[in-house]
Parts: sequence; C-alpha cells; structure tokens
Amino acid sequence: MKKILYILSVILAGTFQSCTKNFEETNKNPNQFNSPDAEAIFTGVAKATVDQMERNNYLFFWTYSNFFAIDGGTARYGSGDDTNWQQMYVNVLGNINQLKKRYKDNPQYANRIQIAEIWECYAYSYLVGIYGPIPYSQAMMTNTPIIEFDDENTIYASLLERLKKAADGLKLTGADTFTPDVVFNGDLLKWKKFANSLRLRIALRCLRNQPEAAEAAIRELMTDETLLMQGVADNAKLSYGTGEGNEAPYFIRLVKNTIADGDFPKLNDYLFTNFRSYKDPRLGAYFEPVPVADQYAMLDTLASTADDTLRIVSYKIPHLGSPKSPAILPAWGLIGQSPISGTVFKNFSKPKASILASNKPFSIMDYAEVCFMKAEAKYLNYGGAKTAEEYYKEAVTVNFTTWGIAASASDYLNTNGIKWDTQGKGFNYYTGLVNTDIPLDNLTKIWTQRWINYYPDGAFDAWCLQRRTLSLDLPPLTNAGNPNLNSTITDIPDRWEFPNVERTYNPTGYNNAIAKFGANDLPTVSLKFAKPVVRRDWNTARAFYDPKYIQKWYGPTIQSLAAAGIPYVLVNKFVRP
Amino acid sequence: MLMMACCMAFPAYAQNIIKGRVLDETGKGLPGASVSLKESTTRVATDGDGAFSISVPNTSSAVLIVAYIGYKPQTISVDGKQNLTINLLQDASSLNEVVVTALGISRESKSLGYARQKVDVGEMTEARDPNIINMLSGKVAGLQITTSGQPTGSTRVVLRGVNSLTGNNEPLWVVDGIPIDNSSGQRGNLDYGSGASVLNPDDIESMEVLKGPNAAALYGSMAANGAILVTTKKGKAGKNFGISVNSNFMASAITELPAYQNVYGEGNAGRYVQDLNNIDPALGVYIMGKTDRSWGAPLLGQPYASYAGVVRGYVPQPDNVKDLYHSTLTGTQNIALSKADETSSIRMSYTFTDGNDVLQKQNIVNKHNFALNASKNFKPYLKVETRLQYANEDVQNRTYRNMDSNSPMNAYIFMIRSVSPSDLSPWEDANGNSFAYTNRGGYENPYWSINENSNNDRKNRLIGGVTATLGITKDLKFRSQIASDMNFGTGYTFTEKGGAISKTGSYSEFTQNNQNWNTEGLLMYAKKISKFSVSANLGGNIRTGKNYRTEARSTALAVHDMISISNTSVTPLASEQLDRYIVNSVFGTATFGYNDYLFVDVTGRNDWSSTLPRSNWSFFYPSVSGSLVLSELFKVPKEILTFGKFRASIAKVGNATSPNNLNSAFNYGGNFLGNSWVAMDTKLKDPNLKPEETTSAELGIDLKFFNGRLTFDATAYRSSSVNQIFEAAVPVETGYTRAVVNAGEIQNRGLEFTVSGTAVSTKDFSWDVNANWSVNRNKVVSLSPGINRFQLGGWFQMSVNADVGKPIGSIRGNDQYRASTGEVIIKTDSGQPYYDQNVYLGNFLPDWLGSIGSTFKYKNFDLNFNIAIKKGGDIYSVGNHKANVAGNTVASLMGRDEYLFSNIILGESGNEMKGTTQLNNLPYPDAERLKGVKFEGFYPLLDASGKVVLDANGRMVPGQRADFNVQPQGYWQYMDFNMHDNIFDASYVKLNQVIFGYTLPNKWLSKTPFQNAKLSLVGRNLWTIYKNTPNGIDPESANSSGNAQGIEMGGSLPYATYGFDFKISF
Repeated sequence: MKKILYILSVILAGTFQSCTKNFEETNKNPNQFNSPDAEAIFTGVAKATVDQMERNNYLFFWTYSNFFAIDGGTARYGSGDDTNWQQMYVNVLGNINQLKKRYKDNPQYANRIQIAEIWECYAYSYLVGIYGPIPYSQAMMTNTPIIEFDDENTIYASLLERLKKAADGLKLTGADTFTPDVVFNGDLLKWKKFANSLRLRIALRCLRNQPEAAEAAIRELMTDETLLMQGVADNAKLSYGTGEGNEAPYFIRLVKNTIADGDFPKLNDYLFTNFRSYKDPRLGAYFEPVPVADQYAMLDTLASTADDTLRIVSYKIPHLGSPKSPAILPAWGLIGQSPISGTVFKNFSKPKASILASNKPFSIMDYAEVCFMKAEAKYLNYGGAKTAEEYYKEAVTVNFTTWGIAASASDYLNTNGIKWDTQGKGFNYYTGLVNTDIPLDNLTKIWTQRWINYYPDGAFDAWCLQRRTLSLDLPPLTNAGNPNLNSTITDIPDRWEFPNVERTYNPTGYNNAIAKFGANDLPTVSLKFAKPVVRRDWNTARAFYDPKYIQKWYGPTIQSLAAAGIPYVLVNKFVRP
Repeated sequence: MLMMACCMAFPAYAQNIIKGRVLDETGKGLPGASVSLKESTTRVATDGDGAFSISVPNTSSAVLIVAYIGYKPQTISVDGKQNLTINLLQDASSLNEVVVTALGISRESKSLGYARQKVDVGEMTEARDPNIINMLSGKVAGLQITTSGQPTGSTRVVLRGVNSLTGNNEPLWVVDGIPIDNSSGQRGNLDYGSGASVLNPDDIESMEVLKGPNAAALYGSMAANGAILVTTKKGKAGKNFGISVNSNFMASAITELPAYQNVYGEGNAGRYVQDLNNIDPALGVYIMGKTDRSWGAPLLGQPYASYAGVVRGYVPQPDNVKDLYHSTLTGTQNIALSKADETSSIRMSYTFTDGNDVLQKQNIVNKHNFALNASKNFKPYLKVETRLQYANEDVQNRTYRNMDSNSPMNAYIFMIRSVSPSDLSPWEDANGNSFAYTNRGGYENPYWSINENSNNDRKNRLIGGVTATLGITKDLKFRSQIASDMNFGTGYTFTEKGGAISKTGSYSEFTQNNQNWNTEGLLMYAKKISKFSVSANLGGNIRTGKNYRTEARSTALAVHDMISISNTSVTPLASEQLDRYIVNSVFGTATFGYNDYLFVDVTGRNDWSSTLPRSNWSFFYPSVSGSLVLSELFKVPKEILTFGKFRASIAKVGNATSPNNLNSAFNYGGNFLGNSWVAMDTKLKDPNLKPEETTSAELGIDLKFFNGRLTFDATAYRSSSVNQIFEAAVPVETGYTRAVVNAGEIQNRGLEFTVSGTAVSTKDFSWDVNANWSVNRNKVVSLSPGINRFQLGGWFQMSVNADVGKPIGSIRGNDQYRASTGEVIIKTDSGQPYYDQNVYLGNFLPDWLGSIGSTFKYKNFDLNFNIAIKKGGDIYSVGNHKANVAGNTVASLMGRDEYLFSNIILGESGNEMKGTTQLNNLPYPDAERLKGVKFEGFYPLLDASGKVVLDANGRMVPGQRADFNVQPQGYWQYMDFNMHDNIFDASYVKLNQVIFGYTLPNKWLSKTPFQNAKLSLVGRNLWTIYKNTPNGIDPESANSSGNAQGIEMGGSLPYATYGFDFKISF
C-alpha cells in the first residue's frame, strides 16, 4: 500500500513539476512596463517635480514668500507635510534613479544621463533648502535598515560639484538628447546654461555655510558669463496644457475645483504696501483689479484746490492687500479702527488671471534672476563684465518686459529706493509694526527686487532669499496654525519639520539628523545657509493703525478723485484746523 | 414500476388507516419522525405532537418502519391494530454524527482530531440578513464578525485572531468541496460586498466551521485561517410534490442618532455673524452655509437666509439628520423543488430578494438566486453529481463611506444645527448646479448626493461543478471533479457635474471578468480489518485564476444628468488589470483507526504556486492529528457520559502570495502634452519571496452527557505565523513608499468553549440553551529587522499599528503631553495642552467573545433568541470626533453658556479669561467664575530665568495648576491633539436574533396538499443591551473590512430589522 502511494506521488509530483513551465509568464503583469523609454520616465519626473512645486507654493510658499495671504489650513504657517517628502523622493528622485540605473551604461544615453543628473541636483537643492539635513548619499538604498541623513554643508558642496561635472559633460552635438524634452525641447546648450545658472543660484545660497566652494563656483561662472543664461530665450520652464492630465496644479486647485473664499490666494498686504510705497506698476501686472462692485470703500481725508476745507470721503480702491492673519494681539492695546475693518474676502486683489490659466508654464528659473545673481556676485567682487548696477537695471527691465510693462521700467528705476545709491521711504504696515523702507545699501535693493521677481513660481527661492538675507522687515503671523509651536504668534518658518513617517520608519536616521541641529525638529531651527534670526517679541512691539498706505489713491485732493471719475460719498467736511 | 403500482393501489385500500404516536424515552412526542410502510414508497412524517396516520393496503400484514435522527429505527408489525404507540430509543452510536470535512469527504466526527462547529442554517432563512456572513455573528465560538454597517457592504470574519499583518485573515469559504472567492469588495470608499455574500441560505444544507489550520490543512495556502464548509441542498425523497415556499419580509429602521445639540447654530466664536463675509450684500442677511460648524450664537430666530435666498429664522432643526432616514422593507421569496428516488435526485430553487437601506435611495438591491443540484447513480460503478449556484445581483447607489465628499452619510457628523431639510431642497439652481452647501469641510448637500449622484453594479456569479465518483473495487474509489467560480460584472459611478465640491463631475465604468477553475482527482481507499480501520486519500489539484478588469473614466462631464462615458468634456482614460495564478497541488491523507476509539490522521500537501519565485514556488506542509474516544475506551455508562473524546492536532500550512508581487515595474502615468509618461511602482517588490508559514497546535475535548442532553466542547490552541509576507511602509527616501517584506512573526493562542444542553424537556415544553465563549491572545513577536512598528492603517494623525511585543492593533495618535509623573502640561499662552505624537490610545482586539442562544418550544410555538457579547477592544470614533469639532453634539455645549456670558455679555478680554487683568497682569478679581472650558493640567515649571525646566527624561515638569478659560470651540477643535477623548471601549451585549414561530398543526393541514407550514415573527439587532460608545456610534462598526480595524468613520447609523417569515411545503 505504502509503496503504491509512494509511486503514485512520485508520478504526480513529476507531472506537476513539468506544469510549472508557464508560471513565470503567468506571474507577469501584462499591464506594466519593464523597460520603458528614457523619455517616458523623464517626462514623468519633470511633471512630478513641477506639480509638487506648484502644490507647495499654494499650500505653503506663497504665504512664506509674502506674495499672497491665504487663510486657513496648512497655509497658515504650517511647516510641511508628508506628501512633499514622498513626492520628491519617490516620484522624482526614485524615477531618476530608475532612469539612471537602466541607461547609465549605455553610451548613447550619456547626455541624457547628465540631464537626469542636473534634474536630480535641482530636486535636491529644493529639499535641502526646505529641511536642512536630508538623506542624500544613502538615499535610494533599499538594502539597509537605517538611512542616514547628510549634513547641509556636504550636500551643497556635492551639488556644486555634480552640477559642474554634468554641465561640462554635456556633448552639444549629436542626437543624444531627450526627444521629447518637455523642458528645453532637446536644446542641449540650454540645459548646459541651466545647469550653470542653477549652480550660481546654489552657490549664492550657500555663501554663508560653504564660502569657499561657493565663491569658487561664482568666480568661475562670472569669468565666462556665456556659461549662464543669456536672455529670456534661455529661461527654464515647464509648460502645461489645457486637456485633462495637462493642467497646471494652480488651475486645478483654484479654478477647476471648488475652493473656499478664504483659502483663495489674495494679494499679501506687505507686498501691497511695498508696491504702494514705490508706485510699482507691477501691482496691476501681477494682480487683477478687484471688480468695482466688490472694491473696498475706504475712508480718506482729502483737501480741495477750490477752498481751504478738508473732506472726509469714502471711495473705492481697485486693489487691496490682505493680512496673513487679521488677528490683533491684545498686548498691543490698539485703539481706533483698523484701516481695513469690515473688509471681506472679495475686497482683496487676486492673482492675474493669466497665472491661473491651465496652460501657464511654470518658471523653473529665468534670465532676470540670473541678472540679479550676477549683480550680487559683482557687488561682492566675484567678477563680471558689467557693473552691479547695470546687471540690476537689466534684471528689473527684463522683469518689467516679461510682465508687459516695459515702458514703465525706467520711471520705476528712477524712484528713490529703487534707484542705485538712493534710499526709499516706504509706508508703514497697517498696524505700524514694520515699514517698507529701502535703505541706501544697494545689496538690499538687489534682494528686494529679486524677491519681487520671484512672483509667483519662485516662492520657494524667495523664502530661501529671505532666510539668507533677512532683507525684508516682515510682520508676524498672529494666528499661526502650528500647534507644536509654543506660541500663536510666529515669524515665517525657518525650515520644515521632517515628515511624521520618518520617525516611525527610519527612526535612527531621523534621530541622528535631529542631533545635527542640536536636538529638536522644530520649524524655528535656523538652517546653516540662513542668517541667524534675532527674534522680536511681537507682544512688546509698538503698534498703531496707519491707513496712509491706501490713502490718497487718486491724489491728495477731491478734484483728483473727480478727474479720475471715481464716485465718492462725502462723510464730513470741515475747515482745516 | 413500483411507484406506479403504489399510486394505483392507493385508492383501493384507502380505508385502511393506521393512526399512532411516536414518542421519545421521556414520553414526549417526536415531531418529524418518519413512518414508512415496508417495501413501498408510502411514507409520512409525524406532526408536532408526534402523531401520524398512514394508509396501508392491509392492516394485518403491514410492517411499518419508524425512524428519527439520533434514535434507533424500529420495525413494527401492525398485526391489525388501528392505533399504535411507538417508543423510540436513543441511539448512542448515532451520536457519531457524520460530518463533511476538507475536500468534501464525509467522516464520522469521532475520528476527527481538530475543532469544528456546525452552524444552524435553518435560522438563517427566518431572521434574515441580506448578507449571509452577518448571520454567523454569535453562532460560533471564536468567530468574530465585523460588518460595514451597510446591507450591501463587506463583512470581515476572523477565526482565532489575526495571523497575517496585511494579508488575508479570513477563513476560506468552500462550497461543495471547492474553494470560492471571498475577497473583500472594497474599492476606495465604495464597498461592493464580500464574495461569499452571494450564497443564499435557502440553498444551504449545512455549514461547518473548521477553526484552525489543523482542520483545513488540506486546503493549503488559502486555509491558514480556517475554513467554512458549505454544503448545498440536494434532492430528497419525500411525500407529495417536494415543493417548498418561503416568504420573508423584513423592515428596518434606525434605532439611534447621535445626541445633537439644538441650542447654538451655524457660526464661529459664539457669534451669529462673525464677520462681513457671512452677510449676503443683496439681502443684508446672514446667509447659511458660510461656515461649516455650529459654533454660532444661540438660536433665537434671527434672520437667516437659505441658499436659495429665502429669509427665515435662525432656529433649531432637531430632525435635520433623522429626516434623511426612513423605514425600509426587504423581501425575500423562495421556491424550491426537491425530488429523489433510489438512483437519482434533483433540486431546483429560485430566490428573489429586493431590499434597500435606511438611508434614502441608498443600497437598493435586486438579487436573483438560482440553484440546481442533480445526481445520478449508475450503481455500482459510477455516480455523477452536478451543482450550480447562479446569482444575478443589481445594486443601485452603494453608499460611499469614510467621509467621502459624495456620501450623504456625512450628515450625521456635519449637519449644521440651524439648517433645515427644506433649506437643502431644492438642492440645485436653475442651471442644475448645486447651491453651495458649505464653503469648507469638503462635503456635498446630502440631498444633492442622494438625488444627483448615482452608482450601479450588476454581478453575475456562477459557482458550479461536476463530480464523478468511480467505484473501482469495494474499497477503492476514484473521484474526479471540475468546478468553477466565475464572476462577470459591470458597473458605473456617476458624480453629477455642478456639485459644491465636484464642480466638473465625473463618471467611471468598469467591466469585470473573474474566472477561477479547480480540477481535482482523488483516489479514496477505505478498509476495515477486524479492529483496525484505514482510510487513505491521494489526490491532485490544479487551480487557476484569471481576474480581469477594465475601466474607463471621465474626470469632467460635458452636460448634466447624462450617465454615459460619452458625456465627457475631456479625453476619457482607460485602464486594464489582469491578475493570474496557477496553483498545482498533490496531497494525501491517511486515517488509521483502532477499535473505534483511537484514530490517527496524517495529511500532507505540496503546492507549486506561480506567485512565488522559481526557487520557492514548491512547498510542502504536513499535519498530524489524533482522537481518542474515551467513552468507547472506558465503557462508561452511556446515561452519564454518552460520548467523550480527547483530540490533539498539529499542523503547518504554507501560504503563497498574491499575483505580480515579485518584480517592480513601471506603470502608465498618463499623457502629458502629447507624450506618454511612466512612473515606477511605488511598491518595492521582492523577487526572492518565501511562502508564509503558519504552524498551529491544538488540544481539545468533546463531551456529551446524559444521552446527549448536555454537550461540552473545549479547545486550546496556539499558532505562530512566520515569514509574513506583508507590505511595509518604508522610508520613502528609498524611492519607494512600501516594500513587500518577508519577515516577522505573529503568535496567537486561545481557548474556545461551547456548551449546549436541553434544560427542560417535557411532552409539550422544551428549553434548549447553547453558549459559546472564546478568548484569543495575540502577539507580534517580530517585524522586519530594525522595524518595531508597522502601520496597518489610520486616519489623520491617528494610526492602527502592529507593535513588536504587543498584540496587533494598537491605536495611536496625538494626545496631551504628560509629564513623567503623569500630569498634563498646559501651554501658558493658549491654555491648551502640549501634545505628543503616536501616544498609545488603545487596541482594537477584544478580550473575549461570547454568545448565548436559546430555544423554547411549547406545543406548536417556538421562541429562539441569540445574544452576542464582546468584551473589550477599543474603537476610535472619527464621527464623534468630527461632530464635536463641528459643534453639533450635546457634549460640545460644555462651557458655551459660560463663554457667551463672559465674552459677549461681559466682554471679558483674553487676559481676563486667563485669570489676569487686562493691564498690568494683576490677578483678575472674578477669576473663579467659569468663562468657557478649562483643560485640566499644570503650566510647565519655569526656572529663575523663565526657561522651561526639563527632567532627566527631557520631559517638562508640572508647575502651577493651569487656570485658563479656553473658548469652547477652541477646546473641541483641539481634539486633533487630544485624541484620547474619542477612543471608546467597544464592548457590547446585543440581542442580535429573535425568532418567534408557530408551526401549523398537522390536523389543520391534513385536508390540504400542504405538509408543513410555519409562520414566524423575526427580528435582528433589536436591542443593544450594553455598550459604551456614544449614541449613534455602533461599537461594531469599522471603516474597513481589512486588517486596520478599530476606526469608526461614517459606516451607518445602527438600525434594527424585524419582520415575518412564512414557510410552507407541499
């Protein structure tokens, strides 16, 4: 009996053994790609990168950069979320890693590998600027239980080196380029200029913590400026389209989907005050005027050319900036009425409609920024064929041209505070805490203009610039949403906290990284590239309501209102005391 | 021939009628005993009193055979008597029930060395639930049921605890010897129901639950969590036509609503109008829906405009949630025909079910079940059996779960207290677009969701097979069978254009085609030589599966109200999915018996699974079990110990993985500016996977006392699952979000007890009781190296985890910061506690499960009830959390009046709420009076320089007691960081089944063609006797039928079902 069983089982076993021949085929997923084209991977990477950057802008950086005021949610000075870490490491860097893995040994793909390398540096320059220490040299390792974070300094040094190598490694002739190439349409020279311009951006950012490597890179690039972008034709951008799957995230969130009035980005009152202070035509170029019906009717006291009376009138103004939070600290003991009391969401200016178009390209880097950077480099005596002022003026002019207001550029450049070697008197912020004065110092001028040039896509770089220079005298957020801060009042975050998942899934790496800061993971830890913050106690700040920044919109007299055809309501009339 | 002769003979001798009663040993009538005339097909059954009357051709020579299950049959010569009293004796050997075991092999239960339990199927056709799986609740020791709360959703069944982290933890369902697909139908926030819910209780003869892998070792990889064996009804010989009809109607109504407050209306910060953004400029009136919370002013009839611009009062709307619900009726109609003769049998059955949900227009089901069983025995060599279960199911408007923006269920959490149903209706403007319901919060007007959005799916499920058994010799048989489980379906989901959340609308449709085939050959040998018996089986099996699904979807619609893929303003997207597997197996079993009291059972199985890599795709697993029949061995008096068995078993079961789990590849990402793009799998797969292994051992004892009036079964088990194949979240800097991991160990150990007995048994009255009790202890022994916690699921900042060294299922989240000494530390500037992340809040695993069932019979009446008990286990109520945050609950009233008085009437400042004067920081004279809500705790201790003092553990140290009045809204909105407030003990005691039946007396039916008729009043989930969760929150609810249990998030409000059932056969 047992023998029979044994024989039978051997026969059966043999039969089934031979039946395993289709197993591998059966276990293959017919709906997946095992070796896709490098282009298909790169297109996905480029889209994923920029999609995430737009998302971070509307959720975080538009608030950090003081371009917009956005109520509610994470925009209220939240300090990061898990999504960014995941999107960047998985969808961007993970896929670049796969692309490199598959094509790095193929000589026909040498240029494309360099482009992937440039893009990888771009992605890391973004992450290191957000968090500080990040997984870098050990990232993409799947066989180790602990992934260590690299220190900021190491990463910046490595990025400068890799970008140089990649730019130099590009062979500008031949067919070895991405086709399609959603960024530069296959133009290898533009890739090279982008790599170098990016290197300049990174070098300037890490001047404080990596002075030698940074200075060397800047000097090298300023010696041969043809290495850098030479005109707006060299601008790096990613286009979006109109169809499903092609639309810009700004459009999807703000136009296509429903969004609460309060969550919609509105002109930030600090930027607004700066624009008002220097009669900046970009107010109308960057922002839509408020529809007349929704315009804020403000109280103003105007003189008259006809007699010696003063009139309190109420009239509507076409633009208005919204505070990041209208909350007033009780300790300020403010008396009187806020100049913007009674405003509603729709009184505030919204971004130019073109910014929210589904096919608006995302600006990765533009020529104006390169000019601003060259101005700074020259100012710091790191070389350059032209004077710092020339670079500066060119930068502002290019910015104006880009926004279709080239004709106003020279007037603007002659305004005190904008003009080289002048200082500008700005308006007070509406609670009087800060003002938008521009000092005599020309470097601050470069930075201030560079900040405005970053609108709207360069919000992250604007945040980096502010952390590095502290050149803007920013008001606090008085109703911060971050419960981990022992305060309801906060300045802009100095960094993002590491995502929650790191604590759970890479605890050792995480703790070692925290140790690099000195034992905490708060958004108030200054990064190494940043200028150390001297915190103000906003509770003891001197505050007063000052409506001047919105008054005398059409001129100082009642006649100027009439001349502009602006209807008004006369509230009171009295003889000048 | 014989039958014809009989029929013809019948009228001629009709006058010879013999009457009588069949009684048991106690003199009580035995209903349903069979009385047949020897050498004829004449047969009758006794009525409720045991009485019968039978016509015989000749009263002097007639011989009657009287039989009743569990009793020794008697042969009686009538000898001309007209009235007989027959006393049947209990047959001890018949207590050796024959049960269906793995592979559909029938065996005597005494020879089994493992735990099994039978489920009463009859009750399931009376107190019906639309989902057969739900009716297992409280019926089996150690079996835990978690329902979706919705009549069409998935139900999770777990036997003996959780063995796998992310894999399947549910038992295998086997119908007539062939495994069927019971995968959960959860797809996103829609739940298409569990695979086994297609089974129709009317067509089921018996259900056996094999509890551990020991019992199910022969099914191999799929049965590591036990098995539920379903045997369908076959044709039976009987009098008359063999037709039975069952008509059942069940009404449902919600039993509980959350406790809503009706004092404060829409708004923020205690204000009716917080700022000008809430005022409609045209009307000059507060327009509703500008905020999404009920933190406004007292509802005193202030002017308040509806979305449509109608001005009315700001007044409480106590029934605005209840009005979304209604009572429903579910009807089930069954007709079955059953016939058999000596060589063939046939049974046909048709059932129609139509039902819906307590929530308006949701979960509307239309289901047709057909069943056909036929067999023919070509004696003595060949027997052929065929069976077919076909179900056609159409479900309209499955309810979205988990606070999906399209779910009307959201109303129970978010419905603002000042909005009336008439304000929400009409829900659309002249252009067919939704009025903005709220500007935030992310959900639609429930009436919009109910009336404008829809989904539908139609399923055709076919479970069938053919079995041929060939008798080779007297002792050797060969059985071969081929069976399939197929599911073809189509469906769509439609989200109307113009919603408040979904402006563009969307549409998607799918086609599904799943085919699973099983081909099996089995050689069966049985032989008894004097005191020794041996039975052996050797078989092979090929199982193949192809699950195919295509989907087309549009993310923006062109026009309103057109449910079609053509209605699109963008290029529709298409996707396709195909999963395939082949499992080849060879298996064998051998049972050796000695003298009917000692049995040893050995099984072995080798699988070759296509889902594993070449090096590991062949794996073997054995089991050994034994049973010792003590009552046979020791010859104890049967009146005391009727039957006693000791059993022991040890088994190993291997488990392969799901298809396509070995190699990561790229997925199609989409088309960007005319260029296709791809993205790598975010899951890192493992090309070297090994099969999971569960090793399990159990000991048990089965006892029957007093001629079977009391039975007691007990089992102790322990199991360990190693080489867990699970998807672990990995640090995403690896380039992947998850990885398939092949590591870790989970242990379970537990006890199961079943007691049943007949407490009273007299002629007219009997009382049966049965009870189950089980306890399971789970431990996560290890995960992958370096990882101590694995997140199974979660919500927001709350997670359900497997923590090494603890039972699986720890619920963790943000909670208030506690000093090393336990005090809560409060922030000095806001009065709110500091918080920690990932604080342990509870565990979803229950301490123990129990149930008590009882049946009373009095004459023709019977009353049956079942009570299910769960002790322990925690649940996080997201519904309660969110409803508190929204200010809709009675709980959220805490401190509001005080705040109103302080803030609005007295105008006290922030400093004054904090206990200091507005200026100069002096103590506020009226600090004692409550001005809102206070978090209990202490401010951190500060040193001389004003810095926070930390102890050796780096924790803050309590200083002065906090005395800080917080605005109530701020208090409740701080729930996200104070999560212990919403974790509840999920213990309950529920009356989950009641059947009150009346069997019509035979004498009423004797002049009709009807044989049996029974009318019952039935109910399900009638009464929650005990629970600790807030009103409206069912302690059994779960947001998933997956492994991350312990979260309540918009399943359904609890409802009770009651109705009547009518059965008749003729």
